[in-house]
Amino acid sequence: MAGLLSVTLPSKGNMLHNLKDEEVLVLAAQGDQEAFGVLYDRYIGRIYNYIYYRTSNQHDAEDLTARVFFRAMKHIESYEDRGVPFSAWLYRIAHNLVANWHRDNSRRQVVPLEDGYRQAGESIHPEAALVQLEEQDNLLNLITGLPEDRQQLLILKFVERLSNAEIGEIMGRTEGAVKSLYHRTLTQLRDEFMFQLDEDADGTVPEQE
Amino acid sequence: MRKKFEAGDKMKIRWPWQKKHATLNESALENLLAATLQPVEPRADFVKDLRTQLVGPEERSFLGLPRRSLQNGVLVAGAAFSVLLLLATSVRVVVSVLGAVGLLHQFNRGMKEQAAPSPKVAI
Repeated sequence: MAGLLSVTLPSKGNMLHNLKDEEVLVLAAQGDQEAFGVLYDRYIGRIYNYIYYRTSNQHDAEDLTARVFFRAMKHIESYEDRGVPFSAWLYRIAHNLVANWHRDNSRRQVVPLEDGYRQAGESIHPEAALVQLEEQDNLLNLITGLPEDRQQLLILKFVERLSNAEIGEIMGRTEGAVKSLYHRTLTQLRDEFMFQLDEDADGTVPEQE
Repeated sequence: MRKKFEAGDKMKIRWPWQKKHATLNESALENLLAATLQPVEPRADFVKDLRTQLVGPEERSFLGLPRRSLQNGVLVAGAAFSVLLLLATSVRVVVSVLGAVGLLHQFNRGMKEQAAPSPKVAI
C-alpha cells in the first residue's frame, strides 16, 4: 500500500521538460503558456549572458532580455520551422535588439562590466591576481571594440560554450566559415592585445599618424 | 614610430609574469578568453518576475505545493481509498454469501428433521 501511495503521476510540466525544443515549441505556438514557460526556463540564462556581454551592463542586459522574450512570445505563433533551431531564432532576436541598442546608444559611454562577476584565480599571488584582472579588463575592452560578428562569435564560443556547428546555425554561416572567422578574430585580438601590453610595459605612447 | 616617455605620461613596470605575453600564442589567448568570458547568473528576482510577466505565476495551492502536485496527490489517495472500499465490500459479500448458504443449509436440515417419522414410544 505504501508503494501505491508513493506513486506520483507525471505532471504536464514534468512531461514538457522531457520534450525537445521543437515539440514544446508546437505547444507554445498553440497558446500553451506552460510550454512557453519551459522554453523560457531553458533559455533565459543563455540569452541573458549573450546580451550581458554585448551590452556590458546588467541593467540593459535585463531590459533587453525581457524584450527578447516578449517579442518571442508575441511572434511564436508565426514561427516557422525552416531548419533553424529555436535557440538560433532567439539569438537572432537578441542580436537585432542589441544592434538597435548600440545604434541608439552609439554616443553613450559604455559602462564597464561589473567587477563582481570576474575573479582572478584564488591560488595566485595577489599582485599577480591584480594583473590578471587588469588583463581581463583590457581584453574585454578589446572585445567590445571588435566588429559585431566577432563579438558574437566569441561570446557564443566562450560564454555559451557552443560548437562551431551550433554557432554557424545561429549566425547563418557554415561551420567552415565560423572556424575561419574564429581564427581571424584570435589573430586580431592577439595583435591588439600584445600591442596594448607593449604600450603599457614600455611606458611609451604610440604616436598618432 | 613611438614617441618617448614624457613628464606626465604614466609609467608602468613590466613584471616578470607579464613578459610571457611577448610570445602569446593562440592557446594562451584562448585560456585568457575562457577566464575572461565566464558565464554569469542573472538575478533570481529578475528571472522570476519576468516569468510571471510572461506566463503568469506558477499555480500554488493553499498548502504551498504546486496545484498540479496536490491534484495528483488527491487522485492517488482517492484511488487507494477506492481499492480499500472495494476490498471491504468484497469481504462483506463473501461473508454474506457464506451466511446465506449456512442459513439455507440449516433450514434444509430443519425441514428434513420435521419430515422424518418420530420414534414410537412404547407404552
